[in-house]
Amino acid sequence: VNHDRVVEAAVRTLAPYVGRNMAASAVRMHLAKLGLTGAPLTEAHVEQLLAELAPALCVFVGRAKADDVLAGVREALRNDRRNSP
Amino acid sequence: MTTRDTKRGAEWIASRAVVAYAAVASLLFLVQTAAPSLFVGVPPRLMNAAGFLGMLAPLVLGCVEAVNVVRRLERGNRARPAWMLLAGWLGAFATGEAILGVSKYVLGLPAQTPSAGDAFFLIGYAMLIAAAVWFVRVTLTSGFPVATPREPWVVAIVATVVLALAGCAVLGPIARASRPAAEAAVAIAYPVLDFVVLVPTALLVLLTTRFRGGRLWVVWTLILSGFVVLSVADVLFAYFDLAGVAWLDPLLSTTFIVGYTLTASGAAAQNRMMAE
Repeated sequence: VNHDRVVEAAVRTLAPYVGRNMAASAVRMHLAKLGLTGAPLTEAHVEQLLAELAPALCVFVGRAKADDVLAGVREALRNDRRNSP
Repeated sequence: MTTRDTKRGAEWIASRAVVAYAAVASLLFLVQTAAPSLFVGVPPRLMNAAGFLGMLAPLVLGCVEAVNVVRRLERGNRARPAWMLLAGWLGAFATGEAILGVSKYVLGLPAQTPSAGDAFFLIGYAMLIAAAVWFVRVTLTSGFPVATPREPWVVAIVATVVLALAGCAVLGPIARASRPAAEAAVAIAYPVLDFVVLVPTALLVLLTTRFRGGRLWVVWTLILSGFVVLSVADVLFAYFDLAGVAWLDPLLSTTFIVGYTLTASGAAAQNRMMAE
């Protein structure tokens, strides 16, 4: 999966809860922590990223809502792939 | 429509009704402060009851909403104890207000300081301070890049120094006033505790700004605005009490009602965000 598309999908989904700036900073920080900067990402990488974001989001919205939000990121990526030429 | 939807709809209506009542009541007291002549024929008992209800209703609403947040957070969630403490604070204050209101307006007893209500207010403050510190801790260690390692220390030190200096200047006359020891202790305790609450509040303000544009930002802006307004209300109360300016009582009612309503609205917004 294209790196920027993953970032964009994650930021778009998290932004309504944590704001666009925090969403972008958090996604970039966790990608850097995983050593995933710039290069295309595999499905496993995306799952790793979501697993990093989950505990942070859980603190503020609870496990159930965090799971919903992160499922939204997967859904957004699926839709992106379907719509991409 | 499911039972859950119906329950959520009823909760939403109750929440809106309390906020609408609080808005009308605070506006009424503001008008009474500015133009007391408009209220000459109105029985003071009626206004007192309106003020009492205006404070009690948002406290009960806030407590219920915070309890709902606790119920939605899974066991082991690190923010759960903080929300429990916040609910405890609102519940203790609601109990304190209820005791004061019933003894004054239902039983017609003269106001006493300290009263049983004060015990609940003081317990409430302990829970509020613990909640605020806990929220700071969980936010800093949440995994979101909310602050550099230095920022919280700088804000905490600056806030402590500024609030200590402001506290000494503002609370000096209240502390020096001659009155019975127990009454003096209660009069000074509330504003002092407010200044203590404002230190973690300053940190939470810093952390909240990092979520600007998100629903968390709305939740915490409401809750923290409530903390600040209530602190101002307590200091004003201590001053007006000392100066014996009863005509400003309606202004005090407005500040307390607004403070409680802002906090309750924040808890309601958090509950709604988690429920949707």
